[in-house]
Amino acid sequence: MAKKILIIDDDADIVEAMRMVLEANDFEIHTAFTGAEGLEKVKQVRPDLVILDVMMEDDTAGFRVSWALRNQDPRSEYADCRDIPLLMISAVSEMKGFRFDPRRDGDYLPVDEFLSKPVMPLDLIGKVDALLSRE
Amino acid sequence: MDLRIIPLERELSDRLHWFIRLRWFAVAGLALFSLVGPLIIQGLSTTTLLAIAGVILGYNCLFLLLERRWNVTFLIHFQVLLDWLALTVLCHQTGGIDSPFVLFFVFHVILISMLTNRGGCFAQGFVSIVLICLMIVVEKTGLCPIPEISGFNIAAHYERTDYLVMYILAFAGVVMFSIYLTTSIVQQLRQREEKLITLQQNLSRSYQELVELDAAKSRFVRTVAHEIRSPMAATQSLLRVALDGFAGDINEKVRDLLVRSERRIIQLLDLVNELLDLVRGGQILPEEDKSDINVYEAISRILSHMEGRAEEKNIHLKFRMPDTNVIFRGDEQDLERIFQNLVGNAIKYTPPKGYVKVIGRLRRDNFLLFKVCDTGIGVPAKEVPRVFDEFYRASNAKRSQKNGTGLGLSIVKKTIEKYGGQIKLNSKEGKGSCFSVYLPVIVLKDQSPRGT
Repeated sequence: MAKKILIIDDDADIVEAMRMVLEANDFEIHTAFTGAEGLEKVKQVRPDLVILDVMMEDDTAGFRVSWALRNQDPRSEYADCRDIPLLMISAVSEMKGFRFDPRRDGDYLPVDEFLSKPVMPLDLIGKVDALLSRE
Repeated sequence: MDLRIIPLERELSDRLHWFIRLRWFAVAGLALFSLVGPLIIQGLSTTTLLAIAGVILGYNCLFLLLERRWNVTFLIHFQVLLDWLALTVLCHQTGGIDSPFVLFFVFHVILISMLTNRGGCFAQGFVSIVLICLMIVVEKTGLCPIPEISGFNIAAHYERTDYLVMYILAFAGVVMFSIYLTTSIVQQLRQREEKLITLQQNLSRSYQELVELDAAKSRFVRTVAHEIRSPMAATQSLLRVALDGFAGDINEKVRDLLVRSERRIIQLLDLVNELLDLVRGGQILPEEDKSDINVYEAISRILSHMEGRAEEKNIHLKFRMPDTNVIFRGDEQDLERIFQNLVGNAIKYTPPKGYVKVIGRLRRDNFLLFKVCDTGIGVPAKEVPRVFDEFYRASNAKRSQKNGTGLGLSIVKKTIEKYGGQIKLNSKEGKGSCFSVYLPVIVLKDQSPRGT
């Protein structure tokens, strides 16, 4: 069965670009355009991987999604989603002079990988494959 | 730097304090005189002199207590009035018009002229003249005779009315003229001070406005840049998807068009990124965002990323820095901005088989001098002063390389100047360029092995 990937990004063109690349690689794609919608879809779809933008309805919507999904509280409604790999994708590194390093920043920004816009298809596939094969 | 000028009122209250302090000395001097004087000059009364000193001491204590509560100017006038009463009594006790203490009237006149307004000073001067006249009248008429002082024929002076009139006229003249002279000078100084305060206020207001304007400009550029970047990034992502064949096969003609489009978009993205860099380069860093960076290691790292580009063009890239224990306090990205731009330019504008050298040397004034030299196309002499201008590209640079925003060197200059550093360019067209970068650094004490 094809692995499911949920893309949460407010930029429909970026979503479309990623969808084409990933569908060509036999993934099943689900999309959401806001952080809130994304969290709903996570519960519905149970994806194998979430691709997450940072700035959506506000500057930190993506951060909040990642915190919700990685909540360590066992009573959290996303408790069984804690192990879904998160790939954060954003232009935020250029915007705020911020460079993400999963080893250093993983605690306060609990994502597994970081990919900057514009999305290069081969980079995207490389990182998605790496994250999915880690399981 | 504190540009503030102390307002006049504050200055005056400071002086009031000083006035009170000086009076302690007067009391001490008078007390001493009351003990020593009568031993030398017969006729002086220790008790009377001590009593006068006591009165002065008393009201000085009172003023010390009242000092903070009362109107400054009013208090000064009141102090001087009391001083003058005491002084008149003192003069009367020590020889009337022949008393050397009369001179202290002039001293007071000058003091008060410096501290208060002109009208008040003339009024005070007038009071002092009246007091002297009164003293002379009571002494001459015998209402209150001068204590006899042996060896001085004081009474003789009082017999000559013309002398007394002359004396009063001269006294009045000296007092009024002193007030006039002193207040004129003080008035001029005050006017100048007021001008200075106004200027300083205007200056700090303008400075504040500039700072706010600059911040607003930076915010604007950041927002605009981000707004441009997002659609650009989306467009480039879509083009890449098509070019990489994820949307099906495309023919050569279409591919060529897409490649051209992507090239232009990359160009635009570069421009936007450089605009952002320009804004960020000029932004003053908060202290908590600074870190201690080993310059030698940071630059080695930056240059190692650029070696590939140099090798591609068969350019010899060389780095030498004997002082490996030098620390730069700031943002590592700023160092990257500086050296990526300078060395990037050097590689870009140097023909194959040339060399690019980066040489760092610590100067005695704790500035690090970096020379970034190349054997490139150089800059025409008359264009050298303009190369740091935003969007300016030297004419030969434009001929040699089509791509370039003309922002790189402005970013470098802004970033360096933010840290209090400097950059200069020496160049010969056709021979090469040599940038000198001065950066303030901290030198660590222990000597680590020297690297090349």
